[in-house]
Amino acid sequence: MEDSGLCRKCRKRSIIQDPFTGTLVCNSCGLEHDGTNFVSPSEGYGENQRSFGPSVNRPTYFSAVINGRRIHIKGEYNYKDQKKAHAKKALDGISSVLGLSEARVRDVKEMVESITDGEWGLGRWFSVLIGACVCVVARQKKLPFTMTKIAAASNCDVDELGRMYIKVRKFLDLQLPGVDIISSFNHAVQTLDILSDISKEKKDNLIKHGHLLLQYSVKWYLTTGRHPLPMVAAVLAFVANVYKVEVGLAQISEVLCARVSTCVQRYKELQECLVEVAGALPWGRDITSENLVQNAPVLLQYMEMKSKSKPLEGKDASHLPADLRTLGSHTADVESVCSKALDMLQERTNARHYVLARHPKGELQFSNVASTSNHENNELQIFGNDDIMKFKLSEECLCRTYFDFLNRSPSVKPLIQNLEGQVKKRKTNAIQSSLECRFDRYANTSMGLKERFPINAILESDVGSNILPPSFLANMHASMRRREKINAAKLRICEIMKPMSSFTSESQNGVTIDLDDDDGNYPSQCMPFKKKRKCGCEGNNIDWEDNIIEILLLHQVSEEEIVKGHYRSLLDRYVFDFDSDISDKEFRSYTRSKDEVAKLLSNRLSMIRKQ
Amino acid sequence: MAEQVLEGSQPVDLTKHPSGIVPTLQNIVSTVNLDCKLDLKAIALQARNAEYNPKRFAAVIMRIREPKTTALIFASGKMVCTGAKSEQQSKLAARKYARIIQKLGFPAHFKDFKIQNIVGSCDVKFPIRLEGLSYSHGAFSSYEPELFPGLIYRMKQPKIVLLIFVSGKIVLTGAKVRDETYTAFENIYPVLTEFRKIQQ
Repeated sequence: MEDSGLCRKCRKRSIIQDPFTGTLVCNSCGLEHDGTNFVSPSEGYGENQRSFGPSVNRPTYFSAVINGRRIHIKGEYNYKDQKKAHAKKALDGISSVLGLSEARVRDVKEMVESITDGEWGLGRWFSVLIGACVCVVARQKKLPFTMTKIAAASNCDVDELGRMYIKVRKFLDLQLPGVDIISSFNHAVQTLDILSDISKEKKDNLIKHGHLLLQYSVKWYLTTGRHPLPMVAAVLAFVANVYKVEVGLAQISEVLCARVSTCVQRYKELQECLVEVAGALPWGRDITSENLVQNAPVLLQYMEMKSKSKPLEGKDASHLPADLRTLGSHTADVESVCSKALDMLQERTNARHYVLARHPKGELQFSNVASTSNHENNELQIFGNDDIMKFKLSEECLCRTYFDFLNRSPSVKPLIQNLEGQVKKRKTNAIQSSLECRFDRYANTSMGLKERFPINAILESDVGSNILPPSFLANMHASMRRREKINAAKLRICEIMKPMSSFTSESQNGVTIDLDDDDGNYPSQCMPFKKKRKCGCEGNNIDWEDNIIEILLLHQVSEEEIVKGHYRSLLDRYVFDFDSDISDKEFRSYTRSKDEVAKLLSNRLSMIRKQ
Repeated sequence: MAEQVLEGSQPVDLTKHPSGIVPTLQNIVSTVNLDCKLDLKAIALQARNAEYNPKRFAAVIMRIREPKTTALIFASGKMVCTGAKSEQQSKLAARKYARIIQKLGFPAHFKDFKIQNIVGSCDVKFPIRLEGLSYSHGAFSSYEPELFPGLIYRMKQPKIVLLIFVSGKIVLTGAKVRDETYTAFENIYPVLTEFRKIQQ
């Protein structure tokens, strides 16, 4: 209190802190000084201090500003208590923003305590540490909290939180699962008000198909190496569209803390994948991204069935043993079983839009009711429009009947088992186990998702298309473009070396050019005329890339290396021949002349004088 | 013979590169001691290819065109050269920087040249299931798509860090000699093939 301020009333330096109320009072006249600003060390200049080493029972100094002067008052609490109080406050703040339960808060508290050896901490770094511990607990307990959300609650950026999270994980030596996309999806469904108004059955179906699409998005690499939340938003928006729930992508992305533009991009990618998958349906050629939502019920049913079926369909059976290939002879029996099941289904529904008709050749085909009105009695109605989602019973019925058939047919069962053994890929075991680990939590949910959509089956299921990761496709396209440019560059070089002599014969839509010259430098190429124009051979569309490729080809660089696209590296390695020492000319280009230096100095001096 | 000839004239030594893929070196970082104290302001004043802002960074940033590299020149006389595509080029570039400093009037030497880091990259040409790789090699790998799209694989022997992307592109960093990069890639390649997408 040595540095205490003057009392306004008696003008004496006798201001003290009241031990009971904590307010500042004048010890001489008793005037209570309001408007004081207490600043604890953690909030004031102690803000960014870290706690290093064991805490000692140092007295706490409160500082207060009175009449423009700072005074320091010795407090009752020690530094460690202060730290604990602030840590508790920070923890409570973060947990209340995230809505953590008491049990989870306790988990976080224990984790923080164990990391800091019970020392706790003060400052911004401590909030980040709490955030990182929340991340770890969220991963452990499968809570729907993403790093973005936790970072926002901890008042730090995601990268900062991520670095701390990795440190914590390493320190505690933990193997944690990835982000739980399914629980994020469920959380979003629960959070969105508009979805709380829809019927339970509709909501259950929406969730079911959302989960199915999320699992397929994992299979289609739409989540690999990408932030998972935009995909969750895209899937939710899509299924909401299918179930005619009016909820915008922006609304969903806001709930999930995802960027809208990324969500839109993921939505498009999901649509593209589904359109590709829809190609497997008999009317699949007519399905585009515009009419995808209308066809989605049937498509989702198809995917659901595929996810449950064994991965036999669509595989090339040529590599299989002869006994497995004879499985085809049992198709008629399977069809009859399917027919039986579908007959049962027909009784349960009034759906009449699509029919499964028996083709004269014995194949089962889907066709529209309108176009099959003249069909015979072997028509089997299966899919409706509005009631299409009610087919879960029929599916189960179909599966049950199918397995009944398998049990009753001893000749087919061993073949199926053998075929499964043949088809099963050894290399996918680890992938499956990892993804099983990701998805086994759903088995415990009320939906019993694992039972409904086993991830093994989804990973192995062939839904009629080979979907590759977008980044891989982009890379492939870039390589193809470069290869085209290489071919065009070869043509240009050859034309210069052998004008017109290399044109040997004509092809259908252009010219076939035989470049297999005597030197053997340029192998034969067949280049359609249109492509040649596109590559800029005839026009003046030759760009910097074409020129570099030409140079590299002339320096005997292999095509495989050029296709990689590391032009600078190749130019440095194969084209440029650097001098071992710096020449005078090169040196002069890097340095200023004496006049220039003098001018520069005078400019600087004048600037300093002005200031 | 264990040699496979590519489309061009460049053969790949399959004894050294059993995968048939040779990582391309993208960046070499080297250091050298010029063994004299430097007046950075004077260097920045005289050299056209230098920038110096002591408030932001306590070194002169100098660039040359051949080989296209950048050097960080410190007042202590220590220099870091980055951006070269091969070890030879890195050494050549460092020599050129030393000559420039010499010509600017400092008694610079060329002492303790050392390659500090080699960065290479390659493409395995198949998509990779990062989730599976992360799960089965959890002790070495870190895969957090919320933070970084690639899987960070910390190989113990040789001590190299690999960034593995779903597209099949690989970045290898942390090597002191190029053979470490090649060995690391040959070690990881069989692992990657285990997690490649099954092409249907």
